[in-house]
Formats: sequence, C-alpha cells, structure tokens
Amino acid sequence: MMTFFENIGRGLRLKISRLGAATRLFFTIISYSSESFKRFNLTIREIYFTGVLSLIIIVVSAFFVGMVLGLQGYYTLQKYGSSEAIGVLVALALVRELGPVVTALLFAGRAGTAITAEIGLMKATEQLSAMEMMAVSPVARIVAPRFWAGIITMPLLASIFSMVGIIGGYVVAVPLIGVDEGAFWSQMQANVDFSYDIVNGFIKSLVFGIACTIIALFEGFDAPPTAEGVSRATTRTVVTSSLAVLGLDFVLTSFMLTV
Amino acid sequence: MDRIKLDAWVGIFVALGLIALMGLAMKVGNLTSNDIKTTYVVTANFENIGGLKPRAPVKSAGVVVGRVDSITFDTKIYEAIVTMSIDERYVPKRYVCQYLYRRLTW
Repeated sequence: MMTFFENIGRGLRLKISRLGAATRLFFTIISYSSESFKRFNLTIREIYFTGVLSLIIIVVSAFFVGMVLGLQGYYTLQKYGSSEAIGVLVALALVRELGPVVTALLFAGRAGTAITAEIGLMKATEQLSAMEMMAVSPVARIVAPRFWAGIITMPLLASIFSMVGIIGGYVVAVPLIGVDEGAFWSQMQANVDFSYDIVNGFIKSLVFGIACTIIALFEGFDAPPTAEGVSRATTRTVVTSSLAVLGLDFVLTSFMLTV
Repeated sequence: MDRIKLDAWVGIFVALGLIALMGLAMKVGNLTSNDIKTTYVVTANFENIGGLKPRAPVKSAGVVVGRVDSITFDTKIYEAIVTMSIDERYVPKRYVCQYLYRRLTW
C-alpha cells in the first residue's frame, strides 16, 4: 500500500521537475536568441522544414475541412431558412477555432515529432556533447533556430489554413449547392470583425506555436539517449502538444469572449 | 539543397501566409468597411435592449452609420442607456433613430 502512494508521489515530483526543466529551457532559448538572429540562415532552413514542407498537409486538410463545414452547415441552416448565413458560419468557425487548433494539431504531428526525433537522435549519437566540447552551445546552434522557426511558421500556417478552408466552403456552398454568391461574401464581411475575430485567431495560433515548439524541443532534449527513449519522447510530444493545445484553446477563448 | 533555392521557398511560404492574412482581413473581415473616423455620440433609452451588444452596427434605412459603444442600466428611470458613435458624415437635421440592429441580425 505504501509503495502505491510512493509511486504517485514520485511520478508527480518527476512531472513537476520536468515542467521546471522545460521552463528553464525556455528562458535559455530566449537568452541565446540574439545569437540565432545573427545567423538567421539557420532559422530560414528550419522554416523550410517546418513550414514549407507542412504546406501540403495544411492546404489539403483545410480544403476538406472547409468543404465539410459548408455541407454540414448548409444541411442544418436550411432547416431554419437561413442558408445564406453559411458564409458567416464557415468563416467564423475557421478563423476563431478550427484554423488555429487544427493547424496546431497537424503541426504537432508533422513538425513537432520531426524536431523531437532529430534532437533526440543527436543526443543519442552524442552530437550535442561533441558540440559542447567545441564550445558551441547546442541551445544557440540547434534549439533556438527551431524555436523561432516554429513561432514564425505557426501563425502563417494558421492564416493559410483559414483562407483555404473558406475557399473550400465557398466551393461547396456557391457552385455546388447554389447559395447566392453575393450573400455568401457580404454576410461574411458584415459579421466577421477584424480586431475581434481575426486578430484573436492570430494570437491563438501564436500561443499554440510557442507551446508546440517548446514541448517538441524539450522532449527531444530530455529524451533518454536510446532508441526506445527517442521513440517514447516522440510519442509524448504528440500527446502533450495535443492536450496543451486543446487546454490552452479553452483558456484563451474564455479570455477573449468576455461579452 | 542550396541556399538560394531554400531562401526562395521560404520566401514563397512567408508571402503565401501574408497573402492569406491580408485576404482574411480584406475579403473575410470588415477591415475595408471600417473606415469611420470622426464620430459624434448619441445616447438612447430603451425599455428592453433585446440581445443588443456593444460594437453592434447602428443602421439607418439599412445603411451602417455607426456602432454601439456601451450599454448601461440607469437606476433612476430603470431603463437601458445605449451610447452610440455615429459617423460625422451623417449629422442629420432632424435625426430619427429608426433601427438598432443586433450584430447577428440582417
């Protein structure tokens, strides 16, 4: 019986010390950021891997999400005789919620796992130790560029997701179903507020970008230097990032919707 | 992959993201129609505001002429006081506040 409580306590203490270590990593990255800005081509290389190579999955899934929203929304709205509101529904759902959240989940799966596996393997093959031996800080050379690439990439990907999703909703609603095109766009413009809806969605995607990247980086940095350790760390990245994104989404939304 | 190609791809990606953001602002949002700068304040009393919210558009003959600033409750007359900012282009001789539309009413 005693060992049961001991295990709970040990697990909790481990989790808390990992949280502390992640926070320490975050501030170390911030303090080394000026060095990584001086050699910005490293960050550009990481933007290519996390951003440009994620474009296909983001664009295709956004298009289908938008089309499904258009179909489902039309099916429900026409029961109440307001099928013209389909544009508002698609735009608000994407800009406020689905754009940032789904992009962050896809980002965690596509880019976050790659970051964790890469850094974990670097650690397992002692490349990070070799760097420290040469007086090159691994945080400045490896971690900080990936962090800033994630922060720059995430809002851009979320904007692309929302825009492509709205185009997908348009394709289903206007040419396929036959909702009036003018009503689709004009009601969208009348009811989507720039500072209220679009900027808040942008802030959300920025916060998700920070959360996903720091989790992926920390899990890679903290992984046991074995094949099994790296694979476990990669799994934990996806689980922790997804939970963090969904939890943060609720917190941010409750801050933003104060009416 | 050489440096120039990498830069080009990242440039395309950043440009795409910024275009999407601009598209959201201009085509989806109301940034273009939100050009009311100089305003004057009008207050009105209502027995019941229904579902009126701050920032709801104020319409006259169906045209957006301003926005609702704040809604407060007056404990002397027990009515709601709605404060609105109206575009200065629409200073009327004899103003008739016809309709107050809720944000999601059309």
